[in-house]
Order: sequence, then C-alpha cells, then structure tokens
Amino acid sequence: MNVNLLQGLVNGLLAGGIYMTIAVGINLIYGVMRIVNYAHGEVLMIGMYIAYWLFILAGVNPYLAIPIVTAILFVFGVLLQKSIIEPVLDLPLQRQILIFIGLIHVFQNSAMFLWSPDYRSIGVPIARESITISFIYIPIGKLLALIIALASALTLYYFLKKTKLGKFILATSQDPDAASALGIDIRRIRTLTFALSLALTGIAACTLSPIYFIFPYTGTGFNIFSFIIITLGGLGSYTGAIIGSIVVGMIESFVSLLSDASIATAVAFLVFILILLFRPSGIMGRRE
Amino acid sequence: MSKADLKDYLTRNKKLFYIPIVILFLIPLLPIPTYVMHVLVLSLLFAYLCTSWAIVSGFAGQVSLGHTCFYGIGAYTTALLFRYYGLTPWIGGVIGIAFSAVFAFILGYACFRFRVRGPYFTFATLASTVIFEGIFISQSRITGGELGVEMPYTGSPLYFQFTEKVHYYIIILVLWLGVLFLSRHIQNSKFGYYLFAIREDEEAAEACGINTTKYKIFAFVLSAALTGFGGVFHSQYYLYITPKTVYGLDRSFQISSTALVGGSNDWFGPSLGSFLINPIVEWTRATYGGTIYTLPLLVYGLLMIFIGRFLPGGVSGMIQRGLISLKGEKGAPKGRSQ
Repeated sequence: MNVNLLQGLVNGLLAGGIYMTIAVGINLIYGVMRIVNYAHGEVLMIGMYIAYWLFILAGVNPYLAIPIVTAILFVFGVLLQKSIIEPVLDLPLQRQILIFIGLIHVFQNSAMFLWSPDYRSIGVPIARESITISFIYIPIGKLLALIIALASALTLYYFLKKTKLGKFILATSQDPDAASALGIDIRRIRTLTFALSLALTGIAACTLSPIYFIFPYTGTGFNIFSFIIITLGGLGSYTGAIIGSIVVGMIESFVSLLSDASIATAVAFLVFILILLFRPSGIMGRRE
Repeated sequence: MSKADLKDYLTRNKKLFYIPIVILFLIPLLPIPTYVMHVLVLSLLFAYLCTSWAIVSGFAGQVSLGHTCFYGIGAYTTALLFRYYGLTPWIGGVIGIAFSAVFAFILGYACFRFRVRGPYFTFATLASTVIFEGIFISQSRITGGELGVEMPYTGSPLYFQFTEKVHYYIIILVLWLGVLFLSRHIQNSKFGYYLFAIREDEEAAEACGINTTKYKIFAFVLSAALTGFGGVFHSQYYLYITPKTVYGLDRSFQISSTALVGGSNDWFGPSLGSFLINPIVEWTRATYGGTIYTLPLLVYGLLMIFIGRFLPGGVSGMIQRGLISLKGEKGAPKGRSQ
C-alpha cells in the first residue's frame, strides 16, 4: 500500500480524534436540551489554562491533571447551567445566540484580562516526540489525544447505555415530556448532562494543552470545527459526532496531502454543505 | 404635560421625526476631528449592515452567521476588478453586488429548497464564509493570499475615492437611510407579514398557503445584496482588504450581536444597537487599549446576556413597550412577539 495514502489515513484519524471529544460533548448537550453550546470552545480554552497553571505552578503533568481539570469543569458546568443555560432553553434561536455570543465575550475577555493575550505552551517532552513505523510519521501527543478521546467516548457510551442515570439521560433526549411523566427529574438530568459535557471537554483540554498554543482565542477554531462536525453528523446524535469528526479529519488530511493545506478546511466545509442538501438533518440526524 | 397630551402632540407632529435626519446631514458642516468622523462612518456602516442582516435573520428568523461571506464577495470583486482591469468601483461594485446576490440565491435556494432549517441553516452559512476565506487565502496568485489586496489611490470621485472622510460619511449616511426606509417598508408590507409568519411558525405559514421557500430565498438574497454593497464601501473606504478583515467570522458575530442588542425584529432596532455600541467600544479602545480594554468588552458581554435573557426584542423592544404603555392600549405593535 502506498505510504502517502497510509500517512493520510493516520493524519485524518488523529485530526478526527482531536475534534471528537469536543464534538461529542456539544452533541450530548444538544441531545438533551436542543441547544447548541456556542461557547464550548471557550470552555475548552479555560480548561487548557487550568492545565497550564497546574503545570507551571504545581508541576502537574497535564495528562495526570485530567481528574483535577475534569472535576473543576464539572462544578463549573453545574454553576453555568443553573445560572445561565437553564433559563435560555425556551427562548427563540436569536436570543439564544445573543446570550451565547455574550458568554463568549465574557470568557475570552476574562482570559485576556487575567492572563494577557500571550501565546503559552506546556513543554511536556513526551508530547513533542514522534514515532515512525515504516515511514509513517505519528506524533505521540496527537496519538495520546486520540487514544484518550476514544477511551472517554467509549466510557460515555457505556455510561449512557448501561447505567440507570445514563438511561435517564437517553430517555430525556428522546422525549422530555414522557421522561418527565415517568418520574425523571428533567432539570437534574439537564444539569448533569451539561456538567458531564464540560467534564468531557476538560479531558480534551488536558490532552490538547501540550500540543496546541494556549491563548484567549484558542477556542474559536475548535468551536467552528465542532459546529460543522456535529451538524454534519446530525445534531444530538452520539455516533453522528464520531462519524462527522472522522469525515472532516480525513477530508482535511487528504486535501492537504494531495494539493494544498490552506484549502483543506474549505473543501471539508464544502462537502459539509453538499451532504446537508441530501441529508438536511445531517448523516445520523433525526427529523424534527 | 400629561400622557394624553404628549401622545396627541407626537401624532400631530410626525415631521418631528425628520429632525434627527437633518441633523445627521448637517454634521459635516461642523469642525469635527477626523477620528470622530471615522467613528461616525463606522457606526453608520454597522447600522447599515445590521439592518440588512435583520431582514433575513430578524424578520424571517433564518439566523445567518455567515453574512461576511457576501460582504467579502462585494469587497473582493470590486477590489480585484479595479486592481487588474482598472474598472471603476462604481461599476465593479454593481458586479460585486450581483455576485453576492447570485451566490446568496444559490446557497439560499439549495438550503431552503432542501429544508435545511434552524441551526442547520445557521451553520451552513457559517461554513460558506469559512469556505470563501479559505479559497481567497489559497489562491494567492490572484487574490494576494493572506496579505490581501491593496488598491491604488487616485483620490478621484470617478473611482469611488475621496480626499475627505466627510464624503464617505455622506455616502454611507444615504445608504443607511435607504436601507432603513426599505426595512421599514418591508415591515409594514405583505412581504414583511409573510416573513413574520415564517419566523413564528413555518409549518403554520405554509399551511396558510404562503410559499415559504420563495419568501425566505427572496429575503436572503435581498439581505445578501445589501450586505455586498457594504463590502464595496469597505473596500473603497480602507483601500486595503484581506480575507481576514472582510470574510472573518468576528465581523459576522459582531453584526449579529449588535443587531440583536438593538433588537432585530423591527426596522430601527439594529441601527439603535450600532449607535449604542460602536461609539463606546471605539472610544474605550482608543482611550485605554491593552489589557484594560478587555474590561469594557467583558461588561458588554454581560450586557448581551442580560438583554438576551430579560429584554425580548432588544433595546428597541424595550422602548416600544415603554411607548405602548405611554400610548395606552390602542397602538399595539405588529409582528413583534419575540
């Protein structure tokens, strides 16, 4: 098999893995609450800063900081849900968007004020190295991010399918009224879902902080990619988020390999619009 | 003066409302510093863009987060035609607007025909902006890539270039008044009512016999063409454009949030938002800059959350509710439920 082709596959898979944890998180929220968390990338940014300061001030390796960052973001998620997200749910799309743009402003400018616009990075030696298997180049940092993303996605899947609480979440996302009638406390399920989704983002933040620059606008790029991915896969669909991540990652990787890296995103997004025309609710989406 | 008297006075003297317009036209006669003029131009440009945006995203409820796509098409068409063929931006601009409209028609037709709705439509528009930005960055031999296009300065009105900011001010003022008039006309027309119906409940509107696809496409194309003209103005005002400045998503989000703060459900709300926000943001940027500058923006973010949460219809909605309570039961507004 062609080495170039294999390298393309590997790159696509690695890129897809990075988008995956973030996309799965946003979709989890959408599934239960029917809103897109436009400020998800900003939460990721905050998580990355927490990992950064833990590393600088306490010398905690970002991979070992996962439980701490996850716990902090979980609590943050509960607070955010109770204070801002819960009342937003019944508002029309325009007002939701205004509130989320406001949230993005608040997060970004708080980060700018507290930590200045400097680009920061964490120097974890292992994340900077790479392995080469028969001419295929694999950066370890991204490989770790992929493995941890897959592991957390599988754990989430197991949690949703096998545990009672997970089944409550699934039931709420399928039919909130029926779930409520069966005695499920929907508000609590919503809060749990939101916090869980932010905790997932915390995992992504830890694995991404050694391989990306950390600055107040880190989240913006991830935001846009995640929106496209979840829409492509189908809003609210768990498998859709994973398929979408892989599709976008692969298209980007092969376009960069075959022609030009600067046009890769444009091609991926064009494919997204074309797919949308045939599947107006995404690949795995349900008609509403 | 009692409430009834005030109401009487306002209804009898409708001409009073023209006074602000006259004042805006008289402003250039005053000795105004260039910087203040720049802020005025910027505020008017944003008022223009937000009003155009609101036609499709406010009236029809089809939220577009990719309006900079049309802005960029307008700006780049004009700039490239001028740069390579020496075509005057007056004609290049018309071509640019036509391109914006054609692309909006293609995107709008494709999306609305195939029932791409709600957040799916929002993200399709967002993606289209990113696509255009990518194309213009990658085709650097023609477009200059990330470094952008610089236009030769002639200073001649024949080429949509002026020596003074005042002239740009007059042009954008006329444009803004035009789009304001158009938007007001739409709001009180049958077309406007169709759009409001689509926003409130698309299926019900369809059941009433409204060709929702047709009207959504029309609103989208109209809004895009107007936005395209904004881009033409931008290219001639700055004489230098890059993919980031004209296609960048920042501007898209800024247009949406400004319009929504002012209130995107009626003709005057978006402009109100622009006049409230832009001067303050510009002033703080100029006065403080650096890290302190982020504090006002932080407050602005909190303000957006507050307005989104507690003031349906933005600032304009609040004022209207005030006026209604002033006027009594009679003058209930149309199509402004959210």
